[in-house]
Amino acid sequence: MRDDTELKVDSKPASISVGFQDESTSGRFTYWLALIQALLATSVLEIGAGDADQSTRIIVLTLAFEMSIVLVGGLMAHQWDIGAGVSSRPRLIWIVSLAIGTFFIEVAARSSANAMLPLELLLLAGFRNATLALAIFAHRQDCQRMCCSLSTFLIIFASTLASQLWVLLLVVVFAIIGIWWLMNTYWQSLKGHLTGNSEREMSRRWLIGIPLIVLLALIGLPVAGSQTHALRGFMPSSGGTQWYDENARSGVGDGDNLVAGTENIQSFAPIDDAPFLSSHEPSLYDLFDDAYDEPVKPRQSDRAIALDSKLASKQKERHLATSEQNGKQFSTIRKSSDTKSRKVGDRDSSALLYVKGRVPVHLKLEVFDQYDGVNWRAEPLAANHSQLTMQTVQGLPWLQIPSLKALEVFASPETHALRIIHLDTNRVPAPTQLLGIHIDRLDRADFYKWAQPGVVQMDRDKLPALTVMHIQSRCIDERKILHSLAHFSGGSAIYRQVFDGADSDVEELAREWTRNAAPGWPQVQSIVERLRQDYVHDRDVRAPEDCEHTVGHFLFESRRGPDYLFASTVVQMLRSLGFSARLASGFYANPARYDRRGGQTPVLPEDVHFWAEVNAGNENWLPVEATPGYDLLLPPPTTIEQLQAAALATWRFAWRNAPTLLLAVAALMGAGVRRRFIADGIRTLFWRLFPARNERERVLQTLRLLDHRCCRSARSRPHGVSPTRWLAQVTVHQPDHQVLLKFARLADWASFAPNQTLAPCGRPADVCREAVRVWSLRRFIAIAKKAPASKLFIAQPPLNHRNAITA
Amino acid sequence: MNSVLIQHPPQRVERIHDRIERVRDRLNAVLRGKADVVHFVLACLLARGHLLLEDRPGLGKTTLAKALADALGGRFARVQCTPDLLPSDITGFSIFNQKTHEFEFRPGPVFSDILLADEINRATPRTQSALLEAMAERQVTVDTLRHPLASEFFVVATQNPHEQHGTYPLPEAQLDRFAIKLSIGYPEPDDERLMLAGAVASSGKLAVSQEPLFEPGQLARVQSEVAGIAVAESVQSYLVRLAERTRRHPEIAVGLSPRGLLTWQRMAQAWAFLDDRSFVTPNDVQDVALPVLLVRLAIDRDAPAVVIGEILKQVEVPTGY
Repeated sequence: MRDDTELKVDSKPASISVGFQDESTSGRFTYWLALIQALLATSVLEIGAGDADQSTRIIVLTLAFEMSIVLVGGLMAHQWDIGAGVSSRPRLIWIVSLAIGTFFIEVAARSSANAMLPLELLLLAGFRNATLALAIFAHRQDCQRMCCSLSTFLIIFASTLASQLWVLLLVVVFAIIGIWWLMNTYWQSLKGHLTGNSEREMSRRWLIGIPLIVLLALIGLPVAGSQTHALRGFMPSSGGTQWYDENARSGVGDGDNLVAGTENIQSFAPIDDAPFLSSHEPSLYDLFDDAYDEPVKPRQSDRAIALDSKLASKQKERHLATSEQNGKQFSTIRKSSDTKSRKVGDRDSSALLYVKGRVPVHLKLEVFDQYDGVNWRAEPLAANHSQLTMQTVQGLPWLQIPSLKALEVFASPETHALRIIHLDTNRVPAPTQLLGIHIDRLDRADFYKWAQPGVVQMDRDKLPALTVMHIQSRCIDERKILHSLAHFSGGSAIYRQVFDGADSDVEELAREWTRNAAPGWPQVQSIVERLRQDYVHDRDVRAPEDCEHTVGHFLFESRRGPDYLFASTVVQMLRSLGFSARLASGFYANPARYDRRGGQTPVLPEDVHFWAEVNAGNENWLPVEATPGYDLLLPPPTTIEQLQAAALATWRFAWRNAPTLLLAVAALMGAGVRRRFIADGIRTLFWRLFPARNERERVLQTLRLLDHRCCRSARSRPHGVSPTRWLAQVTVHQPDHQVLLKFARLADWASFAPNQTLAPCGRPADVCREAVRVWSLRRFIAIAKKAPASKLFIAQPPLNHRNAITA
Repeated sequence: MNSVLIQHPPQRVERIHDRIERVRDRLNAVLRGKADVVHFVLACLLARGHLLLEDRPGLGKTTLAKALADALGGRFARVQCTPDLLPSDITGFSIFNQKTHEFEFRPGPVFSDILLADEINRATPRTQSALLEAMAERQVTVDTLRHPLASEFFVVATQNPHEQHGTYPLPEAQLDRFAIKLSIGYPEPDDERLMLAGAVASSGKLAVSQEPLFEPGQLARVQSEVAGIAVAESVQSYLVRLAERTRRHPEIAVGLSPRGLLTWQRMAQAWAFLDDRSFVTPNDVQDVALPVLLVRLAIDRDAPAVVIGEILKQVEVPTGY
């Protein structure tokens, strides 16, 4: 017969303190089954996700790390009984935070580093984190069940990512263990270990929320139309719409942020270690293939170097897309060979080449030495030019540019990588002080030759497209020039020849501008400074057609013009002062175009540029940049310079955003001063908005809140004092002490009384509300100010405790 | 369904608490200004432990024991321990009956409900051990015959810590039989004045025994009820951590024994019962820690209470949330 007492027991909310059913073997066994399920699901995810871009070693290490976390964490959680409290809410909050935290980490990674995950992997990573966190607490029944459910979800989705067949074996093992776990759980429920007859009330919020979601979905369906659209911009790999995303993988696009693959490659891209593929396009590399296939017939042919047959790809001839844009270009679709992949479209770029390395950099293609007032002409190359040789540096073939007498005006050498895209010339674009050139596998010096003094060309019709060239050069260090004894009137007399038709105005102007400058480089600097200050760079200004001396027209009449007039003027003025100077043309890698994510600078057709060069003795030419808006590459800054620059940038930023920053600082300071109240306000808000569903949990929530308030009022509770006693001691002799004593008794009941024990007073929620209302943080702080904390620890018990309560 | 809902507070327990309060009042009347000592004595009684009072003569130890015996309605016996006291003086002895030609057992003072062993440290170790065996086993064995003692058998032993000549200090193993050790201490001046006034008012009349407040067997039932007070797992873990800490403390030569741990839990249960609760909290454990540990820990320092206080402060208390 059921009496009232039993009915009350049954009507209590479901208890979640079953755990291992403590030491029962079946409980422990179920726990291990759940753990294995979680680890199997995680393994399949890691294998599937890492399949494309991570080595086996990294996958194994990741798995080992995750497993150790779960095992050690689980051991600790069980050993120390973490989360053994009645309330499961903090645990759930942590688990959900772990899952959601993945997205915040991803956002941070995207904004700071060049590392990203596609959205589907991101979602699965969130599920993985939640599964692993649940596995840590799998000794508790609620966590264990949720862990198994999530594991099932995870393995179903993760198995679709993996291409290896043997992963299916893991799925089968998972299924077997899952069934085993279900059987065990069912068996235990039959044995009466579980709270089988518990009832769980659905929260009112869900009762309203779920129908609302369903209703919105029903309304949304007709609006969306019969065809379900992928969330454009939100699902990068949904694919099929020609939409590009740098994180795309396994779709039709090839995201920049993916790494190069080696299987089933479908496009070319300018990277050093790209695999070799056969193509109709003329290439720098050639391979003799005697297979009985249809012969490859290149439409154009150019000089090429022979490749080792081992390097040949086994792929058949087919259309190959090219990826010319910036970023970490590569060229892969990583589906296994038996899956039918879609044809990949070209991704075009308007860039002629990309420069990887420090910018701005002047890449010279041509030099001019004779000027007739209107036109510049280049002298043919002298026959006695020095020979180019090959050298092997760290196993790589480098073309050695013979450097003449060393001049101590340069910074240390540095390397730029040029990714040639559409450059229709055979000249190697290189900085003035070129030291060496390296192209992968090109180890013959006769592939290069001099085009002009200081300009190297390849012995081909044009530079090989989609090829990476490494250029070693050095820039000038102006601090050294000023202290060097460089002689600027060396070299051939042709470089000092001033245009005959010019009147002496140019020379006079040059002398006037350099009147106060010391001979040598300071004169160059003076001219450059004046030009930059007083003249305007304007690409669209042209000298009149009947003009016979463009430099004179620019200097004395228009005072504005394109870069070649600035450069010509510098050359003419320097020559009039006795300097050896010439005009150089090429490309200017503009730092304004620097792509931070790709770590490189595209060079576009409009980056064609002219500048001057001055001879510093022998064949040492130094670039001179007089055009406003263009700068020479400076030597790498020292640490102190970097710090100074950072400080300056910070100051400028602060100055520009002074009102916002001041407001932010004021807000931060205000928040700092009121931090205790803000934190308490948030806690109290949570306490009000998310009340626990049963009385005990509600009392414990309140205890936590009051304990935090007490601690925040500079009354940190010692380890060895219980919250209830601490609260009672702190508030002793205060007007509303009784309220807190009543609550303390309730809190003791909630914390330590057996489940069946009734609350010591009626309506615990009212007692909690009263305690929270009366004992605000402000009140605790007021008490803390009055009495020193050291007097609070009372060894002897308050003997009138009970009487006080009953009174 | 076997679930039992503990009504809180049930009617029956309410009555018992009333009686205990009356016992408390009676004890407070004879031992003025020592409410805390009386509270501990009651807890010790309910925990079915034995009490060791360590104090100077004339502070009311005997008076307290006699008043307790009066209130509980049991038999009271007192043994003044001296070096020539024999075990048989305490346990009793067998004597030859010439009429029946059989040995007859003459029970000693241990066959009482409340035994006051005054100055126990003056008895020889042999006599001490006989008494302590009776305390632990609640039975005595004389001439191979076992004689069970009363189920409420409660020993109040006293010793004078300041007179060391001719004494045999109790070793730790024997001290472990006592549940707690208390000191009564001198009363406050106000309480002493009240005491003097009370003595004048009574005009030197001998105190008349009052009606016992407990029916026969009722105390045993209350004691078993106390033993059933719930102790949460977290509180038991806390007790174990405290015990471990006493064993690893550098200034404690002999840490807490498992028997001492059981006694501690029982005392905490009694403390909770006196506080009208059906479960033990960490506060109960802390409240009874000092007298429970003082009697059984061999603490090297002069101020053992400080060491115990340190241990209580160091071990993290379960918060419940």
